[in-house]
Amino acid sequence: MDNQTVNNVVDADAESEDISESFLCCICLDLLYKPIVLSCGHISCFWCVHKSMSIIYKSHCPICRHTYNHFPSICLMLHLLLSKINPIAYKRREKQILEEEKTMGSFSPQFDSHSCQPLLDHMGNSAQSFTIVNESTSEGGIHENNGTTIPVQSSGGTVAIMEKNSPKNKLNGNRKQIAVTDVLCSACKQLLIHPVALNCGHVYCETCIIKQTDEKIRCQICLCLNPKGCPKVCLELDRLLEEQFSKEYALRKDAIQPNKVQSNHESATTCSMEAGKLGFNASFLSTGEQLPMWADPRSKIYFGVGCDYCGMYPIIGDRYKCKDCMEAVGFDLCGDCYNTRSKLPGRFNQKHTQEHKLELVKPIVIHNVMRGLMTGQLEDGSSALILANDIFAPVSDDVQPQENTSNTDNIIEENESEPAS
Amino acid sequence: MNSSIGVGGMPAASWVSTTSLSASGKRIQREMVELNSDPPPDCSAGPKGDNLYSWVSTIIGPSGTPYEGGIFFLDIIFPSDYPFKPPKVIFKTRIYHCNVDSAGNVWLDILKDSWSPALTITKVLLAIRSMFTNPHTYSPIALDIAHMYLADRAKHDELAAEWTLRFAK
Amino acid sequence: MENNQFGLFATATAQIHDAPANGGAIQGVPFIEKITFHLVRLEDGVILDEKVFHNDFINLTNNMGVFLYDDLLAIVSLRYQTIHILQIRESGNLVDVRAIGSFCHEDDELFLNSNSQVENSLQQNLPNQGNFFLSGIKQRLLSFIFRGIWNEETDQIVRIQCLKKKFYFHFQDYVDLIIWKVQFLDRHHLLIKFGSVDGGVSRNADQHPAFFAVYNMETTEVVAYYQNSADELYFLFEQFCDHFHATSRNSMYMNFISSHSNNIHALEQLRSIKNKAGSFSQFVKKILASLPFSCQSQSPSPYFDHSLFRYDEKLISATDRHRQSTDHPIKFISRRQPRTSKFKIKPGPEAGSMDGRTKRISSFLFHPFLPLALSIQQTLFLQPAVVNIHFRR
Repeated sequence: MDNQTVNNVVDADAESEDISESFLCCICLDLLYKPIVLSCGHISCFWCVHKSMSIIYKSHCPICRHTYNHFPSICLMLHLLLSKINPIAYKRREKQILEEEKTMGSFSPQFDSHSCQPLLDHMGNSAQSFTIVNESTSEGGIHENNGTTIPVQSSGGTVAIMEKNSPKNKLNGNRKQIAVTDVLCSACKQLLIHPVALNCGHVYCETCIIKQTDEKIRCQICLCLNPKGCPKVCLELDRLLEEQFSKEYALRKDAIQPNKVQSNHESATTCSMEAGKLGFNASFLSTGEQLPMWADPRSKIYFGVGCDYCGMYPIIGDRYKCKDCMEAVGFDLCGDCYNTRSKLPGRFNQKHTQEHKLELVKPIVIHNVMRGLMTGQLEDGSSALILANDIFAPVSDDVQPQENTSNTDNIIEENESEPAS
Repeated sequence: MNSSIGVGGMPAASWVSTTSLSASGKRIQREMVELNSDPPPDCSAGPKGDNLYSWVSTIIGPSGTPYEGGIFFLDIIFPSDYPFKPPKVIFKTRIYHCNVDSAGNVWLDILKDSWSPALTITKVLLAIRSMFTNPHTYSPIALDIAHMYLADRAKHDELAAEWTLRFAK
Repeated sequence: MENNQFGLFATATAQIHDAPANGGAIQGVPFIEKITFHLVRLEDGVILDEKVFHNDFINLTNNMGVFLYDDLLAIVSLRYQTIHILQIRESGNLVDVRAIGSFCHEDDELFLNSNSQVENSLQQNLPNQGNFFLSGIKQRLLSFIFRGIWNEETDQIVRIQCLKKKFYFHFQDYVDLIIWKVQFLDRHHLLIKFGSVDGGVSRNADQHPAFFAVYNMETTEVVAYYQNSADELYFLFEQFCDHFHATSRNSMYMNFISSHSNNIHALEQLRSIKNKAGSFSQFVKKILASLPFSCQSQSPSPYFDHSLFRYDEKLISATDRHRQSTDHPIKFISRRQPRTSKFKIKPGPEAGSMDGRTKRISSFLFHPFLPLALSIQQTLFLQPAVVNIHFRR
């Protein structure tokens, strides 16, 4: 690469607005694009999170190394917020990412910039809170809004057709101007305070999270089950809220104070940035935490395959594959999501429909490979050996004897759901 | 990461994707800007010629350590799927250190299993620089050097200083 | 030597091109199976000692690859990038004093081997072949350049920018350039020229990038570094040319070699070239291309003394060089009145083949003080050389 390209990067920065330090993605070091909030509260871009996830074992937050198994959905609220705060830079990122996606051949979910705004209010209990633009039109340029919003099916079977040009779009005219209506809690419909983003991408006040009797958290909008315990507060967003809406924020804070005592869950869960930054030297590979999910001889793991509904990656347990989705990324569901009959276009803008047929994929006999690996005597084919060497070498030190882990598949989830403190 | 992982009977279709070269290139350029505007003490780095993926770095042996006065050159090689894979850091100057093998490869956890895509070259250089002051004796590659450090610190420092004098001036 | 006891002769087998670069050898350098340096006692022709280089490449043409200073002999192994320093002892022995290249101190290698590391064998070593450390001399050179830039700028950000542009960008070039030629400046200091591999093997190297370094063998430090177009080095060369001709203290005649630093006529000549030159930097490059000097390349014969004689520099010069023969007679004309021709050499085919059309290469060797010269003429087709002895009439 020559000087010219170096200048291009610098120019791109110069022409765009000041990007707040807190909205720089820690991975691409550019403005966040299609942001995802991890369960530890740290934000990164859709592709940056996806690419940094491990295909074979648990993934770690790039900043604080918090472990997670599910690829969260894009946080639509942040997405819209950023496109208002930094419209020029966000447009540039949009173009740049689309180009990269074209070369890659797989696409991130495409939003219709006009119609997604009302979604937040109208969605009710429909499955997920964004519209998916047809891939063919998006390639032509996603700025043109051809009104090709696909009806999104709600879980109740009713069809909600999205309206264009909701009255709330007035706000878009005013750059950098964000309103309280842009940052409302999905539950209490008031200014977010101590915001928490669930795996499905919906944002709630920390205090608005309702735990079910079984201690699990279900999103009140899309009814998705949050895979782990309560996520941690997204501090960057919280800071922005406090800065931008200091008055309202203070009011809300006062109002919440008494409640806080009641809902005593997780005041300690905020993952402090400082701790995260210092955490690099921490030996996160300590055997207790790094308990290999595949050490269980009966677990079925589909390396490199993720569930297009809940985002579990890699899929552990049953895997259902769509026979009709032709995209390179394919379309898969984990056993739980298959059973709840979630029918959604995929995470990568696949054109999956309800008519598509899903089939159960026969698991490879992973425990044979594992056992062979651990005892050092692999009697299967040589191809399996290659696979094994490739994948397992980095963690082979931490492999525990199988006897330790006689639990079922969801052992990891159980481990993780305990509070970090 | 590549999709050939699917040998064990998995279908080729999967979420595994490749990092585009332009994305890694942009990230490296941003790191260069960051490093140039706020360089860590005693460290500097830059690409060799036109190749953005191949850098050289210089770390001046920090004062107060047996490496004081040495000029250590390091090659930094970025993989094409950077930052999702760690850069390779190799000493081009001989050094007596328990975390550097006899071929110059740096054995730091953050450059191996503990790599995180949020780490930048600035942070890597800082980590290596701190390695000069505090060798990671709990995870050494050169066992005898680590042993010497723990058992006879004075002898270790003397040897390290002699290496610096001979090979890193 | 002091009393001209010994002669040093080198023999070599034929060059083999496109040799594989094995065992740390530089790719692209041909090799010679065996090169032998014989130390001969002149009195009776007895070979007293020998130093043999196997599968190496030492440029013996015009003493390019060797330099003798007093009793110290520097031999440049192009193939293994090592400067061997040998001492000729009074006893008639050739003794290895040091080897500069991979290592700087004589005992570095020993030191390294006695401190070999025990590595954690659990962690598989990465295959890292051929990608090892910088050689000792390169480490010294690069750290010298680095320190220069580092200390030049005090502002941290400017410094980093400078390093990036001036140092890291060219880092690989510095690493890739090889030792071409070496001369002694005194008993401790070597003037080393670095250049590209291609330039080191071919003879005319003016087009290739190159730079000079002054290296102190005792302290193993690089003390100076110049580009081959450096004005600074040129001005030193113009004013103190004689210091670049490291002459042995004991050889009397060598002190009379005229140069532009000690001779007004020679200086005038240099200035006229300078004025005629198109660009100064091109001129500097051209002049500096003569550095480092080849050992014993300058004839001390009084005929080359510019204050005594005038002669046509195109036909003959004090520098020992092969040149194409012409039929023009070479004349040395006295600068004193009457300006008569004192010595005339007819390089024509006085004793050789009468075929005047074949190109002939000739070189001249003047006696240090007697008025006679040898000429060696060679045709291009490996016919036996013709040696003439030219006396003053």
